Amino acid sequence: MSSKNEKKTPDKEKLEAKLSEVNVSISKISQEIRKLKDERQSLNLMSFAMTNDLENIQGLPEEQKNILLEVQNRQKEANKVREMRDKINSNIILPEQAILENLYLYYYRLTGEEADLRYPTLKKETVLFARFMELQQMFSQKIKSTDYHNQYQELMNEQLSTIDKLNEIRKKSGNKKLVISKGNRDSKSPVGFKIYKINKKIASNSNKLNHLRKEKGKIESSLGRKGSRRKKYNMPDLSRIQERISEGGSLSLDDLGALLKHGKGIQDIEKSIPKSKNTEKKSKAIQRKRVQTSRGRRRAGPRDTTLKNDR
Amino acid sequence: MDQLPKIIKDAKEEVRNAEDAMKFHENVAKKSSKNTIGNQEQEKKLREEFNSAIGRLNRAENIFKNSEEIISFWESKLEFGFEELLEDSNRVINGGASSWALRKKSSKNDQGEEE
Repeated sequence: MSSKNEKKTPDKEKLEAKLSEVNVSISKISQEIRKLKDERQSLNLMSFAMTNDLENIQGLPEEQKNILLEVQNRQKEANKVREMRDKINSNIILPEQAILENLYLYYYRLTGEEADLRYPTLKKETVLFARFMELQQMFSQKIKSTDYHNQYQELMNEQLSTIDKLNEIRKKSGNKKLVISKGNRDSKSPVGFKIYKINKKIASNSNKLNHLRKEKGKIESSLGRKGSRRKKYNMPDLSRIQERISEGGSLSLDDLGALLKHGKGIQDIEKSIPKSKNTEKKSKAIQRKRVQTSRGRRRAGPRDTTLKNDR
Repeated sequence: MDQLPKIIKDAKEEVRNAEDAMKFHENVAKKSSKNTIGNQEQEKKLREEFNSAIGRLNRAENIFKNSEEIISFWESKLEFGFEELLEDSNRVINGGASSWALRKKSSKNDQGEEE
């Protein structure tokens, strides 16, 4: 038995290590996809501001022209912020949480009491000190990157609301709505070609991500863990619940919850469904049933057959 | 630092005790001329205790021996500055790559060369 357990534990350790590797790759690729999507969105907006189906920017009303210029300028600013964020992220590859954990670890190694006098040597201590100081700076840089990210998100939201505003103005004046992305898929234009390339990258990364997720699922199942996927919410069959109520059947808590969440209230259902004669009869029949305590011997025998024989 | 002499003294005593216990057990086993599994396990346990006591004593003595060197190193840093040790940190402040990123890059390059 013990040899079997010994064999199992290294396998489990290997699987755990593989799982953590897969998790790291998944988070990396997801981050890459998010970055690419941001880039695509900003390119779309940039090209929107420059080359949308506007017949002639000079011929546009002053108000619209100003809004377009505003979009263009804001997009430039957003691109700058995004570049700064991405630069920091490529220089500092550790996520914020990992930096904090390392800071704690190094601080403890440098200042804490060690069991059995296992203190670091001078050489090791200097390395730890240098890394600790570096981690402090990395953390402050990472905070900057988070700030840039928030700024970028705000600017993007502003862009979208400005474009909505522009479209409303155009709608009022009877012009057609401006499209952000679909019109710019022409791969001949430089911006369109960039978008086309980004789309390709996103697709290949998504494939990788799907592959890794499948692998993760396999590893998790071999480790005997349940997948973290949520169960798909099944829309309850409201008509069946309605029927059951109208027939005078019992109503479970789930049914009640479903009705309150998705359907009408019980009163509405009672009003809306005309009661037929049959249903009335059924409900009456149900009312006649009486629940009584049974006396005498039990009719059904116990499930345990040995007890049945004893009786 | 003040605690080190006491720690060393205690460690020495521990070593002595462990050694005595081991010798005593060896003598008893020889006299009874029994080489049972229980005896072997006891001997193994005592030897492990002796080894860990020796290890602790060696570490304490090393720390004591090197402490002067370590203290003078950090004192010199305090006096003349930490520039040497802050190289990576300064690079990060100036917008350069962290040593984690550099290590990853170099390992990637190594892999590429191998391929």
